[in-house]
Amino acid sequence: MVSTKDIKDSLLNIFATLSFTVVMITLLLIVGTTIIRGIKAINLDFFFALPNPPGQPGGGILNAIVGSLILVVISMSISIPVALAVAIYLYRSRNMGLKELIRVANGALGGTPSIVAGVFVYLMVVVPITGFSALAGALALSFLATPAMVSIFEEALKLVPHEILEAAVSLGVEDWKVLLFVIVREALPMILSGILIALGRIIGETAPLIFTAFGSPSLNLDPTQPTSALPLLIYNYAMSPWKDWQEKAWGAAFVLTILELLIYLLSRRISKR
Amino acid sequence: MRSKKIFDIITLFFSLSYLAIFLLFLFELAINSQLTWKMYGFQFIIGTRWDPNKNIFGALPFIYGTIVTSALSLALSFPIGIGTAIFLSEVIDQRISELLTEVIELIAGIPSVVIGLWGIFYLVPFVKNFLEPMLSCLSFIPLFSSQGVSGLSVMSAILVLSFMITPFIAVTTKSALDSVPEDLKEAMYSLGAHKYEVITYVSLPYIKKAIVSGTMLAFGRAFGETMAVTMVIGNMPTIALSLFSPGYTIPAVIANELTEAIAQLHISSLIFLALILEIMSITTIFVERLIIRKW
Amino acid sequence: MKVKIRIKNLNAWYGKRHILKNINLEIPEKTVTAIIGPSGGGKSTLLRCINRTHELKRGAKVSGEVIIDNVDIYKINPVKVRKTIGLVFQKPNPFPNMSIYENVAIGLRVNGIKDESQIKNLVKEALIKVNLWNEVKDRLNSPATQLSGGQQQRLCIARAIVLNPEIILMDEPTSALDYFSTIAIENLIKKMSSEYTVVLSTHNIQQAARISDYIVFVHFGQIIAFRDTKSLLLNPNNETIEKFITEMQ
Repeated sequence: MVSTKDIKDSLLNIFATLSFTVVMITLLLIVGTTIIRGIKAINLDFFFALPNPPGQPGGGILNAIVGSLILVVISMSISIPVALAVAIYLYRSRNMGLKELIRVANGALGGTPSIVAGVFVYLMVVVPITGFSALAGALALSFLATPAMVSIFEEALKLVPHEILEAAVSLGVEDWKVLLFVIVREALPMILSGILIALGRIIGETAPLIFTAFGSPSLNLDPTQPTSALPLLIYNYAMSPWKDWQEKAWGAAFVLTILELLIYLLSRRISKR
Repeated sequence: MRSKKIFDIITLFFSLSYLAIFLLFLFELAINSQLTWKMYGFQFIIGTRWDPNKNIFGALPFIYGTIVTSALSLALSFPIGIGTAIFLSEVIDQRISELLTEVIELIAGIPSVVIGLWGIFYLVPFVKNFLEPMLSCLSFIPLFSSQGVSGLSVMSAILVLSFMITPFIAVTTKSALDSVPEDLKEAMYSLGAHKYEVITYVSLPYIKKAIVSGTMLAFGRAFGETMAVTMVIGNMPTIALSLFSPGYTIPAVIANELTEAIAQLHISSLIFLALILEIMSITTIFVERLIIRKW
Repeated sequence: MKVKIRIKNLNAWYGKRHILKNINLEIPEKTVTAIIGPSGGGKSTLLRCINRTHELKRGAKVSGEVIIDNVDIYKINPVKVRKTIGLVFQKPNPFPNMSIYENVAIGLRVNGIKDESQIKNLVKEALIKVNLWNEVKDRLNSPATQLSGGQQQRLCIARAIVLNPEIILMDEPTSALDYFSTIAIENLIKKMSSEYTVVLSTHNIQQAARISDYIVFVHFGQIIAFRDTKSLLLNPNNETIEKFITEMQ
């Protein structure tokens, strides 16, 4: 005999399953179309050639690939040391007031919408100093990458068991050397994982690059010049009227999504070690 | 000993610089919106007209758009997120649950612009050709009234945002559900309760804090979203009741107009909008921390 | 002695582990039966097989019969079974999001009782039975977590008996409590055995000696002995039990 309560149980199960299914179906639709339409656009030229003039089919997205690479390298070179230094300070310092202030600032910075980060760099770097440039773009990305890494790094340091710290100190190793060579090494998996998480975030960011890196059809190794990036290219090409460019946008979206997937998987594998 | 001092000084220097950059950041936003503040004062926030050609600027269409899209997408994501969490935690087996949870987490890693791309070519036509006609029977409700639409609409923005923030709610809620002590649930079952009663009377109340926290953070994520929204919302500074009309959000207008703005008033108005957005963000984070601590 | 619970060939697994091996047991009505044995021997599992909560665990499996009042409870709706049997846990676990009153009332609510005045009376009755009423009557709406450990455990007992189950199971009910709370609850258990059939597990042989009428000795998932308390303690007749008893002294 099935009671009303058994029915309510079933309804809850159905609701939960339905919710999950809706999310999964949408996910599969999006990823599916990206793969299907993206693969069509991919060929050797896609990866190694520069864009042709708009409207002319063929050409590739080398500018965006190299651009993304440059932006990531520069911004990580800035963010990682800064985040590490701040995290170490938070770990070691006894100045509770200052630490709380920094944590609050870090929290606020971490929640900042990516476009606002772009606005800040636009005001401070683009307008007065470099104009649209890869450097400005990288700085905007650093703004976004650093706060998350500060939190993760601090957590990683705190998780190192106290015994290891004590053991190293009792061996007579100097304080800061202990920190750097022992603790950071112990915390390395989590630190690496944090770096990958931040990396995954910034290679997909578009908004802060719109008025910093700005985009460019040519290959630019000069950081004071504007540069393209994968997400920027997707945005510009998607909104353009040319079919060929729209197809390339799908191709770039496919590449970007695969990259994100790989970074995610890598970060999971490292943090499990 | 000296090397230790130097080391400490370096980390202190970086940390102070970090703090300084944050303060500089707020300062710059404020300074560069001064012009608009002097021109309009508080009127800017309730001004309904935004017309760069005529040098008239009012923030309301964007504030309205930002809040409506974020709030409604949250309203959609909340039940779906909680439902998904219940599915992952209570309905399916532990082993596949771990895998499926990671899949859901992956959604958060999909770049906004990719979702926007899919949105332009698939969701927008769907809204135009299918959703809007389907809901036209409800068009006596102003929310759904027909607009002779292109599909580029607040509705489309709500749908993409919803998809993007659901994983936040789902994953934090699922974690929280997993942390409910087994013996509490067992005690409830031992009273002769059904599964839905155990979930509603024991599990969900136990994780109230986590749910509120996850929801607030999801909301913060929603109103900061730029790309997916600007690609499907139509980018028109109108304030209309119908969800099928185009709209505009703060991040979208900044993205579209900052590089082309020439008039000082235009630029400072856009910066002011950025400041408003930043204040919204800081407030959300602050309120969330307050709720978590004081509860 | 009338038999209340008849357990036949009960086997229980948790994943690959075979926890209970061919348990055959008859528990008399309106007495206190203590299940004693080393940790991990299956005491908890045995209790949870009686109120059918063991099967709620992922990877759990049960076979055999548990017959209460001539009905094999494994052949009827488990939800119905559970409301006729109360379970008290080792660590006091009142629902933290509910008041003292609600903790006891919730059992009534999920079993269809809607009349508020009826609920009020039943809650009061239960709290009186566990000797908690006087201590909490002025703060029924305060959170249950404000009570001391011993009070919380009595609250959990009240929560279990408010539905008037005929059988009360207790899983090491005093091992998390201080000396005085333990004594208070032991006295309560002795009092309860005139109305309910109490089955409790314990690793404390003195406690079993103090309060139980019958002792079941469980070791590695099997029943080593079932005897009335006095005779088992005076005359163990079994090496394992003797060792256990002497180790506990």
